[in-house]
Amino acid sequence: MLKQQIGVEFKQIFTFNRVLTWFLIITLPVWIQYLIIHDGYSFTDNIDLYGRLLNGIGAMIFPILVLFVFADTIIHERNNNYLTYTKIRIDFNTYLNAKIMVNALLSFGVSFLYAFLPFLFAQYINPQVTFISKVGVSGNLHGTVTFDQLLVFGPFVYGFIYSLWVGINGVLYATLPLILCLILDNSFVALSIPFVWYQGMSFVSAVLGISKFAPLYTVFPYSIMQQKLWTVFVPFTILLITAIVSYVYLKKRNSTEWSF
Amino acid sequence: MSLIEVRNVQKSYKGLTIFQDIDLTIEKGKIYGIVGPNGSGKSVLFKLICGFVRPDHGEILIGGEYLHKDITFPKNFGIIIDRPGYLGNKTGFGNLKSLAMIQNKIDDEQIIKTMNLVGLQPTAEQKVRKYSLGMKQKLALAQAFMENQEVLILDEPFNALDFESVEKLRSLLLNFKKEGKTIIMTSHNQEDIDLLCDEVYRINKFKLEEL
Repeated sequence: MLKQQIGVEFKQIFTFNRVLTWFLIITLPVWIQYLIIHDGYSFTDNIDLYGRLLNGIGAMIFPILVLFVFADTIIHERNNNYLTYTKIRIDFNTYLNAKIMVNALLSFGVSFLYAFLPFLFAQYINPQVTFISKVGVSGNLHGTVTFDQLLVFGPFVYGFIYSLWVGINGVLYATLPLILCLILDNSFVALSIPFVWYQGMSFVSAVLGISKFAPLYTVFPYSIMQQKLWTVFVPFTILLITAIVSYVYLKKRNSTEWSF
Repeated sequence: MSLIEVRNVQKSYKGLTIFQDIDLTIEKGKIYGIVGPNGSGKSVLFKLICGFVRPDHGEILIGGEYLHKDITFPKNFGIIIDRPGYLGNKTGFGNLKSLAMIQNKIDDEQIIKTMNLVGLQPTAEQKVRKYSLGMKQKLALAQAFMENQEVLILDEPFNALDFESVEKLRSLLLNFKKEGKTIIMTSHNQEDIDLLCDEVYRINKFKLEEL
């Protein structure tokens, strides 16, 4: 039944509007950043250019972007009482798990591409076609931000692994609101919590002088000095535990009764 | 064997008693009416039978199987509970198709047939968020009927329907009964209850009493 429902969710989500939304999520923030930096900025190397491309509006609102990959569908289902009519057709846990899995796969794919396509552009396409010319002219050395440690394995491994990291974070930031939507009465609050965490904790950690643990900088580390790689797992782990606890609570609560 | 058995069920919400030791036996092929004032617990009774809420005490059997022990939700039930449910950004057909895909028991032809049966146009491009209340109610009826379920649990099925649609629905429900389906319904209109129901129960002071 789970496999069947995953198939159903995939069939339903692949609409023109949804695919267009994914396309815009992947390309629009980077395109805006490109327009800002393509003229008048200089970069130490391709990786520096890549960091600048990613470190724009998209990085600021990343938890909001990933919401619109799939997780927002559950809000309509809940608010319009549609979920009630699924309950008589499928076990709730199966339905929830299918939603979470499809959400995870799609948000991973979109988030990965969001990070990986600009890498391909900066590392392989731009040097060939030269959309942005002032690369390699600035005096700074590369290897100054977190994840640059991976460059010892070569730029492709760096770009791939870092994009995987952004993809995994996309999964987490998309999964938590989906679960919270089914726990909290107020959908707006449920959807806002991951973003408030992302921005709010970044502010708090800056005030406390521990910016290396800022959620924003652990996903997009281009505005902070290089930190040890383990630091990126701190906010990630907190969010992961929150998501797991929320999931367990939701399942436990709905094993007694539905409250939405 | 009874189709549905409610045995000694108690239910309360946040200290507010809804039911005290109620019993109800539903036999196949009949229409049952549940009446009672607003807030008396008609919808809660339906949610209990559908497995959406658990009784504090007592048990519910569906086709001889214990709800929450042998099964998590009853099979072959078509329901309307509380209010219609829909995806506002889809057409009526799209909504029914989305629900039908979950169990994959029926094809598009069956959906179209059911939409025509309740008075909805299957080819209409109108999104459901633009539907009138009556049209949303018809959509809710269509989702309850489309999979040819054996049991229909209908909470206020005549809500928001015009006179002609009410007449049509009454006749439809009587036909379903002839086909052997079991229907449990509520209505605030006594005429609906008198005309359709074989047995009627009233919720009174947390109990179910047969009228």
